[in-house]
Amino acid sequence: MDVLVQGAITSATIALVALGFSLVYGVGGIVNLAHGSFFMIGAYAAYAASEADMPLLVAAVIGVAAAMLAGVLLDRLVIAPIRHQEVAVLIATLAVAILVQSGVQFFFGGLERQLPGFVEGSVSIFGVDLRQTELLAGLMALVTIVVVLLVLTRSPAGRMVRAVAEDEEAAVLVGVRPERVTLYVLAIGAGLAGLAGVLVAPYGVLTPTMWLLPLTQAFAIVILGGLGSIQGTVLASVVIGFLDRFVAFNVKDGGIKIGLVTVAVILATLVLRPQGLLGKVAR
Amino acid sequence: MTDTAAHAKPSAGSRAKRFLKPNVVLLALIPLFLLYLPRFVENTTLLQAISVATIFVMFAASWDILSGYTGQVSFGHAAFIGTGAYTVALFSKYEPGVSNELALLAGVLVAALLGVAIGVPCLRLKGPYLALATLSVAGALVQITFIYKEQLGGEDGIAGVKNVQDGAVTGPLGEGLSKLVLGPLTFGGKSPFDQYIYVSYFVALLAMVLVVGGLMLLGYGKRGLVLRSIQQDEAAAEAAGVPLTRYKLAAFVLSAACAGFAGGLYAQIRGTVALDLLSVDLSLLIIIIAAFGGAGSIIGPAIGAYAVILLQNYYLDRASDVFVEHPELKIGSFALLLIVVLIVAPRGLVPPLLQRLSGRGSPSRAAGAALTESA
Amino acid sequence: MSERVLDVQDLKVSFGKAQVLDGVTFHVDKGETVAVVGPNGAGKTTLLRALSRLNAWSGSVEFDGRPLPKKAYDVVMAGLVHTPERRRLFPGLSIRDNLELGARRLRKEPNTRAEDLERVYTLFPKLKERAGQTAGTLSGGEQQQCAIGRSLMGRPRLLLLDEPSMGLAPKLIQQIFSIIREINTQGTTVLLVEQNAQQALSVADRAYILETGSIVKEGTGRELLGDPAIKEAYLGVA
Repeated sequence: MDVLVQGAITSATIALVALGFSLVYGVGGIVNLAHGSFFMIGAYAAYAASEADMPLLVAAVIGVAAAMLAGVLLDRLVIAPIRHQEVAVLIATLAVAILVQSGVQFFFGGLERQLPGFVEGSVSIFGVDLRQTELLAGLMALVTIVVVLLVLTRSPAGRMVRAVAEDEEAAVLVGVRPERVTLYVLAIGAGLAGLAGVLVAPYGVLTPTMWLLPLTQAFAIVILGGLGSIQGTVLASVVIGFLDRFVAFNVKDGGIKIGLVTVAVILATLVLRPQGLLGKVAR
Repeated sequence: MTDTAAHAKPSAGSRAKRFLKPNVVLLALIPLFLLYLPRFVENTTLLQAISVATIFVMFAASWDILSGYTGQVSFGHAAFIGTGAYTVALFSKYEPGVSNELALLAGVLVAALLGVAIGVPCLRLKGPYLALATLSVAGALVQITFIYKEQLGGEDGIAGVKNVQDGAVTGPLGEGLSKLVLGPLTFGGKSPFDQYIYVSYFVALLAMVLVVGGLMLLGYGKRGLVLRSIQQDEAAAEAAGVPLTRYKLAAFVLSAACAGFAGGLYAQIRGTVALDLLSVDLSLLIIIIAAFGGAGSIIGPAIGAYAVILLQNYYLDRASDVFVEHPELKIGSFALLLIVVLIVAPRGLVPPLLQRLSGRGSPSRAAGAALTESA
Repeated sequence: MSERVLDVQDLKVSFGKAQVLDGVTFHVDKGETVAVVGPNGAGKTTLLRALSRLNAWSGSVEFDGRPLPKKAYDVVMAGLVHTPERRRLFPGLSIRDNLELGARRLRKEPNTRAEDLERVYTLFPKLKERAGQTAGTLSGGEQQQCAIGRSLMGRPRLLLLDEPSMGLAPKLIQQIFSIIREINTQGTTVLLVEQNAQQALSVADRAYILETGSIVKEGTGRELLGDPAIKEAYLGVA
């Protein structure tokens, strides 16, 4: 039961990270190795704001805004100039991830940090004792995901995003600017990852290397879900989320084995089913 | 680009030779210079930094034979380095009776095995997949050190690795070279600590000459051409008769083995292993070195390693106390510099890597020529 | 002389050392249907892609009396709307979404959309029936209809059509060309490139024959249809 409830929460927060990663890849063909850094920036910015005695809600907004700003800067300053050079983008975004890591290390040091809970107290759901802040994180993440999916599938903006993902040139021919769409998607994707960082900050642990695991998990999710498949991303988030908690609860020293299991999933998927669960054959 | 098939063969061959063969005499001057350098440089801290840079030359060169040549850009080279280093350290810890050289060999083997284990699933992967797969495998290895904390030490690493001076081969070899260059009396007059610095300096240099020399022989020969052709255009290379799978996997394993060797030797020189040998920082540092030196040339990354590592381990510390207090700013600065270079001059400062990645020229024909010539 | 919509002078396109278009000069007047006819590899698609700024080129192109905008997006916004080769629909989006995306050019005048959608549905009743389905499920002929419909949603000042007959059965080809005639009658200026010379020349007011990057003949559609050399080369009759 623990696994079910906590797995659901973890799935939702991971999906927030993975959705942005997947969308940016789908739209711009950009694999952003700095995507996990948005998660970290969101968490640390909220932490810094709360240390400066700002109310937690304000701190949370600052966290998300900082991540979005980072996304905009990343696109404008780093990715846009080299957008069509795949390997250069990979190298540059990894360099950005390390730059952010060293910046966080410089300003906050290497010690583990934690944000106070957004809400106090604990609740019991299906017999599982849960801190309310965890429950809040899961619910917020879930609502956000539903909103994002609705925007993607129902709104004119979402239509444009999907159009660029399907055929960039054809999208240009109907008057869509892929660079703009990429910028917006990157900013929103960064904001989603930042939100996940903020939500997890009260019960996760903040360290300068905390960006790597969400990046790895987002990658696993995108591979497992199949490239450019939004449903696949959501479904795979659930798989990885439950796996994460299952390992954490049922395996000895599970907490530190999550990354290992994730990598195993990545490699197994690559070997057994490179197109992912729902995906089309890789482009 | 408009070469017709008829005259592509000889022209590609000669062009390749003209372009790629570095001047052997000039090249030999570098190790000779390094060999006699300790005679004139008294500063052992600097020599120590040069030893580390020499090790990094092997890291970079081994990265290059995989990434710069075949275009399978590895973002987790630290995985191989760390595997070699930790294997050596484990032997020191649990089987101290095993000789240094044997432990090093074991490190090479384990790293090579990891090369197979990563290489096989990655064979079909391109750019971003490969990048993320290699990156995440290295990340997983870091976690393994926490899982087997008792054995691998977690964040503390493993101390007390048997050092090069204890090696049955490396010890006498390093001492011999030290006496040769410095004179037996001078060497004998040094403190044990300084003697150790000299010994490891020469052992690293010797290993580097062997590894880099070997990789260059390979890289500038016909096989190197074939490897390059894979990067340019896999389909064309295959059409030209290149056994893709074999070459790609071989590059993976060779790269891993060399990195494991260098990593193991580094462990013996440092006397410790720790998480920095598995970190993303290290993987990126190698990419930075290769990018600045010019990937796909072996010698470029080698020279880049001296520049970057001496900056990192010696000059920056002396330039400002900030770097001493906050060592993380060093890799941060390099990362920033790399980003700026990639944006401002994506083809300029890093021409070989990026130009080849943008797919110019037609080395697949050259590869075809190389194959027919060798047949 | 009637108003000139498109004026192309000495247009050259090369890929590497291969000269794909070698100084092409032609024009399109308002209200006309102009066809560029030629065999495979003559450079027809390259010509349209150049006009849409999808290929680099040299020469001079005036659109609506002004130099052609420099960016693909601005070309579309100026009203030069391109229906690309092989339709290039968004296969995972619904037909209605595909059509609505075509109206992006007019997004600042929202009142036109319903009217334009109705017009497209009248031209292509099949699309209305299937509006909710994804475009990938359409047959070839329906996809072509959807692609043309998508372009019409932008109320093009000049509609570029790249090989609308490609891959269609003869009966559907007939249909598509009669639609093109109808679109033109309703007031849209059309520039059409086609391999199917018979059909293209019969709908075109004027036409150009493009061979290996150069225009080798021009005339009214009727003249060229009657030209013996053309008959032999393109229409399969001696």
